[in-house]
Amino acid sequence: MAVAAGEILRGVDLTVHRGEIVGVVGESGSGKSTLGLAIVGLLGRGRKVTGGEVRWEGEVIVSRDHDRTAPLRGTRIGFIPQDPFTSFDPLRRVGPQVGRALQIHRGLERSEAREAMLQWLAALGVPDPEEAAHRFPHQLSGGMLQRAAIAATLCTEPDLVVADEPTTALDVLVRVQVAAAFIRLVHERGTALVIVTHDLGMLGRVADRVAAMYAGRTVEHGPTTVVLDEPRHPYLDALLASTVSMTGDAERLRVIAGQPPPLPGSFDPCAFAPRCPRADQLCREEVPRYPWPAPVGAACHHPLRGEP
Amino acid sequence: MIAAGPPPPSRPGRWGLRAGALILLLLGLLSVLAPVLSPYDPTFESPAGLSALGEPLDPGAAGHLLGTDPKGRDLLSRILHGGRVTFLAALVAVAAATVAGLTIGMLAAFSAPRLGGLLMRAADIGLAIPGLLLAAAITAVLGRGVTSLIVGLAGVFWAPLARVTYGQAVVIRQRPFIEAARVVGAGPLFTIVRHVLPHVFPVVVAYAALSVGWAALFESSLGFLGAGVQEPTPSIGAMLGCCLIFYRSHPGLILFPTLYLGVLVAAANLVGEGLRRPTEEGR
Amino acid sequence: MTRYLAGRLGSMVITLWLIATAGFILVELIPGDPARSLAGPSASATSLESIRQAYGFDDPLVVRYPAAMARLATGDLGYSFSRSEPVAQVLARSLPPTLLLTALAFAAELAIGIPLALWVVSRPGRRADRLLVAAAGASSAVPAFLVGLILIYLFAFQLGWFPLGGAASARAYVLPVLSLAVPFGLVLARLLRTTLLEEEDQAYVAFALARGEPPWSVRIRHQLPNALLPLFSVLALDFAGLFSSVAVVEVAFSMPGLGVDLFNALRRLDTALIVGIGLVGGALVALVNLVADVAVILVDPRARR
Repeated sequence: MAVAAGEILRGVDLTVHRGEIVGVVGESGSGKSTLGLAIVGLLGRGRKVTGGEVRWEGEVIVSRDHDRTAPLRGTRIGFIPQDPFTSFDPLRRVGPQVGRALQIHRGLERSEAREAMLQWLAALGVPDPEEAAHRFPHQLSGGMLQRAAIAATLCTEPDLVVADEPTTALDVLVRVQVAAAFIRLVHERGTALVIVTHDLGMLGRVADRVAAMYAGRTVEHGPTTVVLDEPRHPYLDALLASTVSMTGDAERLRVIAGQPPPLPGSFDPCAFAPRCPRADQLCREEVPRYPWPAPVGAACHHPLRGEP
Repeated sequence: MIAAGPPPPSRPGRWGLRAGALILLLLGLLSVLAPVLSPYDPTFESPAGLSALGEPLDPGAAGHLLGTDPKGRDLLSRILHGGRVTFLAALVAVAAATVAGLTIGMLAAFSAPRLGGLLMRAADIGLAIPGLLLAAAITAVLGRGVTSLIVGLAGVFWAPLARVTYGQAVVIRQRPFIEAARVVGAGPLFTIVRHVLPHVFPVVVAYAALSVGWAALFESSLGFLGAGVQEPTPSIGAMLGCCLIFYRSHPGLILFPTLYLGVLVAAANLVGEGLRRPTEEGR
Repeated sequence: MTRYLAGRLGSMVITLWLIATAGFILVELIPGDPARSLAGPSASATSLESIRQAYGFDDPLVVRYPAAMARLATGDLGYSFSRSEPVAQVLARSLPPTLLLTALAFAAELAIGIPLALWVVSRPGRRADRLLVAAAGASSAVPAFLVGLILIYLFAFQLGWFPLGGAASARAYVLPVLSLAVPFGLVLARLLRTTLLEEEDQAYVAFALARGEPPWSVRIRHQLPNALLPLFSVLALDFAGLFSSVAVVEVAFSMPGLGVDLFNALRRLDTALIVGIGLVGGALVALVNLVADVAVILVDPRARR
């Protein structure tokens, strides 16, 4: 069986509890950004949900036939985009764009929204909020813009935030600062967070649980410490081995041969099989399934470790 | 599960190009065969071509499929001949304008910056004067006739074509393979003809095809204003201009030439859009 | 900004000068006696001589050209024999109604094109889209005066809702404005639809939606200004195109203005008036282009330096 052409995402299952931080990890093109957009109902032109569903407090909000995300967006579910430079309207000043959600959802007056907006910018470590708010997007640095984007999302205090590579576009030092301010605010308010990234180091520090994705599927899932220290799936193992660790020895650094398959596309039942040292005939004949609802596990015929 | 939809199809594609080309070919054939197909001499003012009251005959009258014009001339014959004049004038004018525009645009892109700036400045002047006024002025000054009509139309259309050529050539000029050609020792002329022209040409031809339609529209507006060809020579514009006052009593006098014009312009647009599409997607 | 404006104004003056030169060359190119073509066929020998004197047709080119430019600089556009008054006077009288009609048609073009594009983009499926492309294609395959004639025939002649022509009442403007604004508006809607769709894929649209801004509000507040920005230069061209078409539509609706002047001038080969109208058109286009460039700077903070 091959996965039908045209599908980007399938076989993904993820539950997020109140106040929990869940990391979704994978290479570029693994479908993890699509997953983030699907949760907030913003797949955009030319893509649609063909099956499965997203539930919010037990109620289906996204499925093949309906999309009930609109009333939740901005109030209860927030979304932080990947590229801060293109995420603001270039023709308008940054401040009003940040405070806009407060006007829409809280019914605040312009001046009240402005006060609150300035406080949020300050909370995210923007040195001179007045000045930054008065600037146009192209006049601010990536770090400042990403802080503004985070402020624009958190200011309505949503219950769940989906963050798509929130710090990838930033310089390393700025990245650490922005991530620290962001996570601190999320913890303080007990916001649930789905953080989509390929930054395993960051996930190791902040996430309660991690789901690894490959070619549009969940290949491994479990508590962060378990998954990152004792990976079961050969893909995650290879991914971890290819990541530079500050403390580990450099000799362990390896690369994964080959390329992930393009999405949408068709590939072996186990999409990782062509790059996997452990793959055999079974991997090319039968789709490996994740043992839902197990809290820890991998979608692999030949895991590196057994069940815990 | 989330799936990507089919890539969004847009605008008339290859079928449009084919249909447009076919229609243009057909109109070309009608033009060539106009003398054979026309039942009458288009300038022949037949006494039998007017009613007893001296009015033009309605479509379907004996011997006159589309009726006659206010001078008793057969409308079908005039449309066939007039369409030929309009089509040919548009075609010749745009061909001349394309050659001029291509030359000037390429020269501007590849000559010394000062000369290039001057040439593009001239093109900007051509673009700055509203086209209809420019064409009207040129035809008025040169005297009426098909030749001055062609000169007038070419005088309008060379400027945008030079702009299009220049714009495209400047883009190509910056591509790495031009530098590569220079490095391996290709002469400037060789580089332009061999490496730049093939990239510039399709865009210019697409624009030229669109221009043929616009030129035909210009001809009709000029004829309507009383510039362009000289009576009794028929052209779509001249027919519309002279018969406008009859549009209520004899709508056919306006309707049929307009129909010919509309088909011609629509076909030219289809060809132009069809040619433009692949070049745009290539970017 | 001031420096930029000064530079643009300077280049506009150069453009005008070049247009004037083009007009001068055109008159020089007239076959036969240029004085005769300027004076008209019925001019007496004495008036021919006075024109020859005034334009210096007996002088060499190096004297004649600067003299002609100097005359233009003082606003002397020559004498219209067909109207028996100076060209400048004819233009001063005819330009305002023509500009009014152009401005009205331009406003109507925007009023038709922008909402139509927004509506088409908000429709799911491709039916509205195809309809728009077809309508824009069809309307641009027919000259504006014919659209006008069809409108006159239907709404003035058959239904009697509007006057057949003239410019006596506000109602008289409805049909001429529509006959210009409908084809231009449809083409604008088609272009705007394309740029709107391009903007739809921008991250700022998704982010605005993600923050709970209603879709219609995202479209109007964010998408529309960004989509209109690249069309400013097209709109400037449209204004020039409208100006040309207005001349023709004025004739079709027998409204006073430059169009009727041009119509008469062409019929009587009144060269001075024809060239004068061309100069005014060129000046207008140069001005409109300047306005468009300044508008881009006002709207787009990235363009400010």
